[in-house]
Amino acid sequence: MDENDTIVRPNAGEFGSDTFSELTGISCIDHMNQVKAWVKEGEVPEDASHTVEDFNLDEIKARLHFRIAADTRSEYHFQKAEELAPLDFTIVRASMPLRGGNPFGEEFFDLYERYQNAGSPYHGIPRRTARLGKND
Amino acid sequence: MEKKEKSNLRVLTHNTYDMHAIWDDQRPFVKETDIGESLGWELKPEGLCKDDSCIPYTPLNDPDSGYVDFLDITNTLGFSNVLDVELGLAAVDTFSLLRSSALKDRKAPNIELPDVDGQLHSLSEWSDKKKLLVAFSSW
Repeated sequence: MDENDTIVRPNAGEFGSDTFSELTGISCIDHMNQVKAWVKEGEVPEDASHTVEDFNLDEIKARLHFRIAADTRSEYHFQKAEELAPLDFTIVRASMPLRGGNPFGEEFFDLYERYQNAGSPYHGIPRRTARLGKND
Repeated sequence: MEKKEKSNLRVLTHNTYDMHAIWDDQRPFVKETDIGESLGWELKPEGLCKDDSCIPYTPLNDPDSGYVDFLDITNTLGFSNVLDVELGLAAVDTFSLLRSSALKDRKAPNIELPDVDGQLHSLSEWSDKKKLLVAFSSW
């Protein structure tokens, strides 16, 4: 956001360090250079004009079910949330530890594979998908 | 899992609000004076109001009862909701207007977030500076 609170570049999945580069295949350096160029020179990358679409009704309902589930640990609402937004990390991966699962385990890699196969859907600036699989 | 008494309604937005409710045909009716705190819009003679904006609203039930149909209010405001009658819970998307406006106009809303000591800070504290918002999860 600039000095006038205008959103210069919408949200994107980025990395602040290379801690997980081996896992993700993504280095933080490109993004860090983008941020530096914007702060110092006011330069913005081409993808900054990307329009982020709002959630559809299923995605909104999924978040509301997840909100109830996070408060009550209701398995019914966890399931409803996942049914409505099956590829949404904010819901499906965040549910894993709350349901006794492992957000770094087999179920996460299954989710990631489904996510990649679906074209990596994301409400933000799309990026190349990192190579990440069960055997990596 | 704790079951809520049918005389109460817990409203989940970005915060949690417990309020007295009367249930009729699986619909919660809450005190009209409790609407403002949980949904950010107050019921006034001219309708549902927030700051200088008002949306015309006529309660479906007896206006002298002091109670209003919670779901009808949220629907009038365009807030999606999920109601769990058994648990006495309603989750409400009160950010729909703010979110769609920010996405369309690309103007950052003046969000308020706590620092590591719990002290609240508004985005406006840095209104004359460039800002990088970082959201992350430790999973």
